[in-house]
Amino acid sequence: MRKRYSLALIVVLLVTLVIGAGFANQSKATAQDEFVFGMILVGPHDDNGWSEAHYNGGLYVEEHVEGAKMIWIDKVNPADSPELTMDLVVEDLVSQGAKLIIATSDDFKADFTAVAPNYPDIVFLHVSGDGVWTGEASENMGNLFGQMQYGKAIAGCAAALKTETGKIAYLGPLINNETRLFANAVYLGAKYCYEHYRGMDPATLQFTVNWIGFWFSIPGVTLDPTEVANAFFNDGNDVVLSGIDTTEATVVAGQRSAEGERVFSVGYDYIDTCAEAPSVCLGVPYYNWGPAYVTTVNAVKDGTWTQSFDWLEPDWSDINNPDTSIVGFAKGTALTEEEAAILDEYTAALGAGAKGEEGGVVLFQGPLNYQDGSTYLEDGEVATPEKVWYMPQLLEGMIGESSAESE
Amino acid sequence: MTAFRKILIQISSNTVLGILPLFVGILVALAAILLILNNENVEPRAVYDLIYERTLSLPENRANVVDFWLPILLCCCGLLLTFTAGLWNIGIEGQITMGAVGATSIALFVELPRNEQIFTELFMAGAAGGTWALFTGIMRTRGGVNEIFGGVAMNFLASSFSSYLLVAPWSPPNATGSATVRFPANAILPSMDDYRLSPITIYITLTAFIFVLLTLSGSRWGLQLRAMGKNEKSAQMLGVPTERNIWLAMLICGIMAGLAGGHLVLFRRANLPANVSGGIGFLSLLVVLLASIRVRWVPFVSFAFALLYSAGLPLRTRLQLDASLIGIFLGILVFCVLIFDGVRQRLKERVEQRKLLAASGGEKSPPPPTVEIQIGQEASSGSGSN
Repeated sequence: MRKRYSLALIVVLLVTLVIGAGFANQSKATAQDEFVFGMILVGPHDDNGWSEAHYNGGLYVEEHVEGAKMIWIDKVNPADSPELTMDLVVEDLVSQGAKLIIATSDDFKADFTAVAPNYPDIVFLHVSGDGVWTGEASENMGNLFGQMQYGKAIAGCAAALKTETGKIAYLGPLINNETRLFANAVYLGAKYCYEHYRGMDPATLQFTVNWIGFWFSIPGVTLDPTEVANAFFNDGNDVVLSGIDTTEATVVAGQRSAEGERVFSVGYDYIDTCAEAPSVCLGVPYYNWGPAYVTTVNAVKDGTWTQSFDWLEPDWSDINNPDTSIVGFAKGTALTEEEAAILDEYTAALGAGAKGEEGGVVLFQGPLNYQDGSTYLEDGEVATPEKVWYMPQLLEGMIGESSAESE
Repeated sequence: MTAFRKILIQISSNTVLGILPLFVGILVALAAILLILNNENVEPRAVYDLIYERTLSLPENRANVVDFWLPILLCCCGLLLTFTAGLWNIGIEGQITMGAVGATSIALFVELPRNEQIFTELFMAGAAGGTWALFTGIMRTRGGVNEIFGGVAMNFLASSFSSYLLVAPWSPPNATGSATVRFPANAILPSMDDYRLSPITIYITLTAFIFVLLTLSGSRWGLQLRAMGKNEKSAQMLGVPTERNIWLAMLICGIMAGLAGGHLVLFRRANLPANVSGGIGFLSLLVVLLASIRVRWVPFVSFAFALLYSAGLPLRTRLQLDASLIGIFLGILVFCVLIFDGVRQRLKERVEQRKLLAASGGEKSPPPPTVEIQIGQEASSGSGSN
């Protein structure tokens, strides 16, 4: 009886699983004018943050390039998809006809770089990586990123304009070159505006960074960003800026504001982040990947793509132009008109500085020291792109860890 | 007694009613899965077609399924020993993790000639997994800590230790803390020429399976384990060295789990990622439960699970099903089958009780003692072991 039962169990399980096998469709051949590109997202495609910004960039491509079709997979990270490897994901996307594969996380760098040489006819685009610069990338792999340091500086300025306690905080993800750069840019923007528009002594501005350990919360692995944001507010910070992929800083600020506290937040990554809690949101520096993706897709489609490291500036004529600017800043409703006007003025000054125009503000210009007091930039020295990308420490005056334990 | 109940009892005594709950369980599970698919606006037919197309239709897809299957089967082999001995080795996730950590410690920091390199890595994987399991066994026999609680604690420790290694000493510079650097080519298990499959893992798994099959079906030690699974104290009184057997069963299970962890990092990943075990240990627990601790069915059930597991990727990229849905489908299937298996056993017990009552002329009497332990017979589920 027992054996019969077990046999039946096995048979039924197997039959259930492969039922319909005879009716299986073969892969549908892609239409001749169709151009399939794959997108690998580290978080949920609807996270109101980093991954959604990329997903929307893919939709923009579908809208603006004839025949373009995006296939995507989200939550490719050890917590949500421990069974997945980059080999399997790429193999699956290629089997669906993808000619271009976009990997959208720094976390994918090693595996993506290792897989790319196995598919010499497919173009691999790694967003936020530096493989082309370092020479690690194979010939069919390119890099793309936006110069978000400008968006972050504007975010820091917004925080400095709003703070009354003189204490602002940055909710950081993990510690690497990219995240240090952005935290430093926020600090420089805040310091500049605190001094020049508020007329305060920048030395009295307290700027604290705490890193949760990953781009988003992984229970049991990272710090809980909700707890970290609450701790910031408990410590007297009245503005918390987000550096992570998700929206906890804004959500927590909204909750505490509803209880009567005067607190604010600045989001990150995604243009509509402020919708989480509009009344406390000072704005969000966001990515607009669509136009850059269209350029890459057209180049691959036309056969004109060549390897490059593209670290694109905002369109300074209008950083919020959805068809031209890779980085923007969406002002939040918590800003007063006067504060918003100052922010526009600062943005214009940053643009002028980036273009080398007189009277502009150059974001990374000496004298600047690292956190340990060593010199980052001599007096008057302007940082090269390499010096901006690779910053080994936070800047002098910032509170928080500059590096993970191992570094 | 009504005529209806008499008929019911008569029917329930035959095989049809014995198997019927299984079908009902699977039907209920399928209905629940269909509801979810309907809610996701996905055609069930498309799901079935995709599962076949992307797992069984092409040799390379079948190879991927087998690569998913091997570490699960390896863990199941170890669990068959511990379950038969009445030990719930919940700590298998931690044993996989420590196996992966052990293999990584060699792959990252030791450079030997190819063969010695691979051997040392696998040896460390097995040793680390085995030691981790042995701790749980010692805690059980010497510390009086139930292996379930001990296993949970050891899982937590292994996971925390692995996370610590990734964010601190083993973290690559400027990395996210989610994985080590990739291992050098010399440290990675060799692959077949045409398919992404590791012959070494195939040999290890095959050996483990044959060892467990022979142990549980024909050896004296297997008999002792089954006796312990029925009643540990009685077995001890009859001279079975229960403490030694608990240690040995846990150790061997841990070695197999550790080797599975070694495969994950030395072949599938080529680095040590966060959450390296990824639920494979728990999946193996379910497989062994579903197969009712029967050695010969375990490969089939584990293959079915591996097949569903590896179908997750194409279902996500082609039908945009959420990452968590495959896990939910597996969970529903297991849950329903186990629930209805419980119903079946209950029915069976009732029927047997009524037969006894009828035989004793209506007087209630305890069932006669039975001796079920016989050499050459596999362990029966429904025993104290599960």
